Amino acid sequence: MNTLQVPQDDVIEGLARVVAVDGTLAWLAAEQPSACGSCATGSTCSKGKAESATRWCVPRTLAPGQAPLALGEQVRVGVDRSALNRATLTAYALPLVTMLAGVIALQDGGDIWAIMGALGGLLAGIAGARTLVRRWHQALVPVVLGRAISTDSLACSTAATNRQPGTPHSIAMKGAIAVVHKRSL
Amino acid sequence: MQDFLLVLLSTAIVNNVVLAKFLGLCPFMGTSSRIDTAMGMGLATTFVLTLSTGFVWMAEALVLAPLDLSFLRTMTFILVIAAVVQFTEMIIRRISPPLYEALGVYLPLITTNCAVLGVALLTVQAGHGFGTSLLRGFGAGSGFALVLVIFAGLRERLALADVPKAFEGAPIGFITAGILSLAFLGFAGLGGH
Repeated sequence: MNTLQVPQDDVIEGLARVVAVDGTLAWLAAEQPSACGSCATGSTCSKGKAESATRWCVPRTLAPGQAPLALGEQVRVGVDRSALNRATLTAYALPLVTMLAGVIALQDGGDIWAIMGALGGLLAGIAGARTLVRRWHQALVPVVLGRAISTDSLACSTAATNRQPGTPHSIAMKGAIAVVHKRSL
Repeated sequence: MQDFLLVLLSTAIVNNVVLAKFLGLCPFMGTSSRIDTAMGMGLATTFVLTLSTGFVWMAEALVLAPLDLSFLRTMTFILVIAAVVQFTEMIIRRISPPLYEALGVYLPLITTNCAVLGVALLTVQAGHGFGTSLLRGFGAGSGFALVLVIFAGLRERLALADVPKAFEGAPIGFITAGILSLAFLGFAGLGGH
């Protein structure tokens, strides 16, 4: 989806960092959770590998008149909340439901048949979930909501927010930048 | 069919893994600050719990019991659970890479969730068949997800409440969990004779 007008309540926010710049484009990587940063096995765990492999490409200039994104800069990214919830439910629940249906259908034949039914149902459910979730792939790609605000500047901007309620956030939402394309570096 | 429903009801609500058996309290407190997080963690745990119960049953019935290696049960089950978590990571990554990026961080945490090992051990000790064991795993996982989402909803409201300073954070969370546990005790005996 990557809509440019994202309602505030419909977005789950996270942080990403600019890991590479190339002319007018910048590549972003999702920020690791704080616990991952201190983990000694980060280089070998699959999550660490995934984060080092996936990059999101966006235009360097988030809004006209703003300075282009610099290397190492933090930005706020958002994912459509309802799409994420829908995809989560489908990815986890559908294989379980089909697996249990397979077991219940073949239970009377004994444990071996029940195991076969479970495995068959699980594989069918995974295939079905993959097909369904792929339809919502675009909605699950994050959009850039704006530059991340440090704690100090957030405290400074609180006064401005009080004068004009919601202004900074709504500007950031309206200026959401769609991902140009995804690639691995 | 009625038996299946009773197994589900019993494991999900009456003998809830968190509020009746007090297993899995760490992720229960740690990932229940927001409903979105709780839902993701609850569904992932349900998936892993169901699958691991099935694979653990197979390991016990096809390998450990015939070879008289039951003393290796706990170690084997931990290995099986770790393998199932890794398998789940692969599945979610294959189904949708963006979904994996959003939720993948919770998956390794499930390996150390004592509720998964606890349910696997209790299910094998109960001596049921494969289908009933799988249903027990699914019921326990559903119960975990249910109370996680309920508790996350309560904590989102608690964040706006005027709580005395000494009770802010985890203390008021545990008090709320205790009251929720008392509420779930009301289901005790439901469906039994």
